[in-house]
Amino acid sequence: MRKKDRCVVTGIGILNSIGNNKEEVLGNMKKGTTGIHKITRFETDKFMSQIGAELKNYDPNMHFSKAEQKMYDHCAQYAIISAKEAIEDSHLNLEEMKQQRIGLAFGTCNGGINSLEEQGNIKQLDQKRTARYPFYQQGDDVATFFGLNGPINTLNTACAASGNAIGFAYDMITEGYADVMLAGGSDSMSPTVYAGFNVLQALNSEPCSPYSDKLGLSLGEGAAFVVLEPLSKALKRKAFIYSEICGYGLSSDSYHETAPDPEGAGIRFAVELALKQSGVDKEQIGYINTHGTGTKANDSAELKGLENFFGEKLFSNILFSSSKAYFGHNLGAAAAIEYVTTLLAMQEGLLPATVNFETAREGCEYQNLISNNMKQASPEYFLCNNSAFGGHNASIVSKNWNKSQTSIAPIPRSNKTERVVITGMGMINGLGHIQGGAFERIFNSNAPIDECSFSLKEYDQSLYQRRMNRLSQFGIGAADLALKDANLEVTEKNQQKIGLIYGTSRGTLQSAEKYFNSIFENSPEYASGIYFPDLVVNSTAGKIGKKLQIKGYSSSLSTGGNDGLMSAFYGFEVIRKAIHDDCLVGAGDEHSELSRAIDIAYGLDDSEFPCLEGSSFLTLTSLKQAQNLGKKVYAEILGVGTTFEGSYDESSSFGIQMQKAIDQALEQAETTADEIDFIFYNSDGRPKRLKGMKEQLAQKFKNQKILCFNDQIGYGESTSSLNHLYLAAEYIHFGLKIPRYARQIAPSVEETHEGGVSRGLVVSSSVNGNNIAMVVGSVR
Amino acid sequence: MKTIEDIKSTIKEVILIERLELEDITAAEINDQASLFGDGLGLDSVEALDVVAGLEEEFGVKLQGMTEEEIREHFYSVETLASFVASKNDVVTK
Repeated sequence: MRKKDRCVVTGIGILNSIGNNKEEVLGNMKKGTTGIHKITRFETDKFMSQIGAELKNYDPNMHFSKAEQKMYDHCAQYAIISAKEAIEDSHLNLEEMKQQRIGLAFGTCNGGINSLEEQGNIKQLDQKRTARYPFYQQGDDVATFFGLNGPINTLNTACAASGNAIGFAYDMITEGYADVMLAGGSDSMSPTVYAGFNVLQALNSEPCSPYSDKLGLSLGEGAAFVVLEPLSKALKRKAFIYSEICGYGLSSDSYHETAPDPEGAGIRFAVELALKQSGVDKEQIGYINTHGTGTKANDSAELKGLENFFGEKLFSNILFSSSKAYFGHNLGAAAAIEYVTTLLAMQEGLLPATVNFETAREGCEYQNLISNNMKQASPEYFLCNNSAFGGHNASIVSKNWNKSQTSIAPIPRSNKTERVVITGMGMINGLGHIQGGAFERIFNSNAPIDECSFSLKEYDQSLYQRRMNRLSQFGIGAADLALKDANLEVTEKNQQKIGLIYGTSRGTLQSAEKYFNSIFENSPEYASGIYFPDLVVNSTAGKIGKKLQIKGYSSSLSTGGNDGLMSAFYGFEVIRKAIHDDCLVGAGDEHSELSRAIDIAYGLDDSEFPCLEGSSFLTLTSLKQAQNLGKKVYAEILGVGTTFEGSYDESSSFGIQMQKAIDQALEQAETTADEIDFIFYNSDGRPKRLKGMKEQLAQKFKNQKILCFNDQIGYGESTSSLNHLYLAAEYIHFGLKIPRYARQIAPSVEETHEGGVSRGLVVSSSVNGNNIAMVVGSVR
Repeated sequence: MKTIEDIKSTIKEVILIERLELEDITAAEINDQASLFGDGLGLDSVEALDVVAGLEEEFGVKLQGMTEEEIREHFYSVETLASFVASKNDVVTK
């Protein structure tokens, strides 16, 4: 097993409405300046507010060539600029580190929305710009810009996204999957998003001041990044250390698509999980940078949740503030911007304030709120919290290293490692809905059926709600099947003990189309309020959580082809680290006109495979729990590796990183290529890529069957990678008992005592060269 | 000029059925006095705000910025909503 390490921040970069770099931002914070002014980029006359926190004097020519400006939209540009500052600040020379695993965890709420909305319609779309819309593209752009080859993941949990990204990056460092991680987020000002907050009447007509009697938020834009490294390496190279990430927590309110649980139970639980993981006591927390948006619903719920967790007396002594009055609500970039600005303030022994503050709001009257002027204090431990549409929450616990660069006292952290097994499976697609094994249905169907006719209303009326988009219907159905298959009933007692990780690259475009059309074909001031909440792609994960009442560790992510397998990897870590004993992992795809346009923009219309829509879910469980409860176990996940090609240029070296991902997975599983009985691989089916992948695998595995099932079930960008893990687990469990077909898959392998086979490898590669390999096997 | 009946029918057909896409119910089945929230049509807070946008669009009235209490009072039923719209504008003839 890889050695666990501690994780520290050795570089920071930032770009927002109060500064184009960290010095400018800190200077303006010290002056108490707000960056919220009249919106310049689009008409706001008909909205209830005309202000926002736009970047000032932004000139892309200072950073990018004309060709690059065509390639990267604002969201990607901001991200690259702040990531570059963070890398320079860390004094790492990435050029000299090509052999090291440098990864990226990126958080965004609206991804490439500018690239779509600037076209003014969704009927006649330009391919180049349309290809920038899916939610993995900006993160992949950043990774490619810097030529990164480590784990790359985009977290799309809306306003908690970059907090979740920092958390995921922390996992990659502490669990030994990466040597360096860039973590952060970016979002750009969007008239479409502005119109949505307008119709929900969440905007403040004056610059926002959370917890004050001025209700409403101010939208902002910008990006921020941190460079994360293992503590041992940072100390060895004598790097300056800003802070140590001691742990983080995620949760889901599972309450409402836009409003938080009024008691703040979700954020409270995220904080509880974060502290538990970090080993830091609540009495040690000296400062909380809160989400504090300024809306009535958020602010009081959040403070209630915190007060309930810490207790009235303790909470009244913990300094807190929301930084959003300086630079607005930066949505997916909010957490990273707030984290970085907290670190900037701490460098001078200060804490951020909530500026523009006059009178406290009823229910938000706290003496420990830092208002208007930054406060001189150097707490040793602090929290950064964020909450999102869809109900996702993220809380990060950090240690302030500014107090002393030699503070190396170890922090107690649980080093317990659990083994992870698959105990439930469910899939919904053109084949119908399937609980458990799917091979029979796949082999018995004459041809793959593109369209999925599943109706949640018919499956279980109680899980349906009106206007529910098809992606959510598929997801709720498949997750329910995986729970039933694992014999896992969600109750009030265990609902916080089950995790839910969901992968989707595009979200529900059916709903997004309706929202865009309400603006393009009508007028922004009459934007559809009911479809706006589905514009954030974590809305589907939020709906699954809400309908199934799952409230534990929750996330939603995008990779452009590995979404399902990346979810399984994340869920594997959740169980492995003993955060929960059960975690649902899944992914889904939905057809629509816009989805078709994106396929064409990526050349996926050339795929040799039919197009799949539907959803698949697996229930992951700790082996200990599965054995204690006598559960059926399909297979154990033994090892994972993930890499990125680092280039969009598919020249001869393309695919080398896939080999590295496989090697990493084999190493973690403590096995070799020879001991693998079969290989199931997922490809998008574009002829050149498919051929390349087959050849790469055939070079490494000369004696085993190398199979892809997308010709029989279809290719779904988000779902297909998980389908291959699904089938691998089924084959390991039933193997030769699957009538007629088993020997076709692995003609010569020896069966295990249960009739299954011993060990398989699942490999998947995304449209932009993200690779994941996973070794699964029978439990020994 | 619109009658109060016109307003009611626009609320039912254009806003509740078309805009909110209420399912399993037709405009004719929506009772003028039935509660829009709770046991009636069961609208939630986001749907209520979307009704506001729909009313603004259909009747050219400005309603944004109402307090929750005002929404609760005037958005009780199709009947109260129609009277409220009528009071906001000279759109009604008897």
